[in-house]
Amino acid sequence: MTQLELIQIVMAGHIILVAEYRGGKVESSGYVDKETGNAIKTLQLAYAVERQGKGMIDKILLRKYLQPDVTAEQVEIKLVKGYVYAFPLDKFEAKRGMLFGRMAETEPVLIEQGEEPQCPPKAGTRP
Amino acid sequence: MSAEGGHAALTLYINKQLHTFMSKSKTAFEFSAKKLGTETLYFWTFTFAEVLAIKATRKKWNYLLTLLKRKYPELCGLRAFELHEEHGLHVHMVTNTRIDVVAVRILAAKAGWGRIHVKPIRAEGATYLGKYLTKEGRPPCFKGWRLWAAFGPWESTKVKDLRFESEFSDIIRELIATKGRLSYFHRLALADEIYFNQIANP
Repeated sequence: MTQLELIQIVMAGHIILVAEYRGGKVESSGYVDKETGNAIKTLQLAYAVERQGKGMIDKILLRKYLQPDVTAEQVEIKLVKGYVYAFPLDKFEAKRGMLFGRMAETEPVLIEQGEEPQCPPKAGTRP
Repeated sequence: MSAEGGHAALTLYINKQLHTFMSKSKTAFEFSAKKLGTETLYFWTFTFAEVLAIKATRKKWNYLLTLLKRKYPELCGLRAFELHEEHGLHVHMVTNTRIDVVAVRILAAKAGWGRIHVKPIRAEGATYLGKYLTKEGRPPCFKGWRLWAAFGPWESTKVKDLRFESEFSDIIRELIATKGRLSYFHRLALADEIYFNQIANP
């Protein structure tokens, strides 16, 4: 996706988060009945992304609840660490110094950038 | 791509997430529905001829339930309030015993109710009642109300009987065990940080 296309989507009124993908996983969560031990579980996709905030890097946690008939094996995370994506969001919330978002059904789209992502500098070294 | 055509395509581009996480109350309802019966259940719908105020409907329901309990002391079930777009508030009830619909209609007429409908359903169908029990779908006039409740001599699953299990809640429990002195908000902030790092650096 080019920046122009991205601007068009934003102008259409959608919530888009542009951020660098740091990692993701599928996890199960749900409720367990303490008396009977029965459980109702749902799968969700959790993404850790970062964006350049006001002078610092903002950490963002994104979630997407998966359909009940989807299994963890069926989910394949195709995003590549270090690349910048446009994440369509349903809603987001800032709390406790972090941003939390719920992703829309639509998949994140890679933002076309001129150069390859570079390795982060080693800890303790000055850029 | 023209600006106009592009706009239409982009509007279709993003689909809202359809599946959301179940609330604790809705989960408790589903557990209760499963506990209520494993074979045939009876799905009742109580409506009025005219649209009544919400409070008035609730009063009439309480009276009807009292009458039903008097006549059928062993009657077990679940009820849920549902606000229809056109017909106002109506009540759904699921029971596990077959009771005489004519007798119920007489009691309902005494309590001021209008149309009553009942049909046998499979046990899994009882979870249909839970479809309106979401926080997001709750109309503002239901604030502070119990959207569903169990009645009769049986032990339904209550919200307090449920325990939430997730990786984040595991982190919280570990922090409570190891760093018990942390304040609530510090603990949550620390758990957010740990959780983020677990995803970013598995």
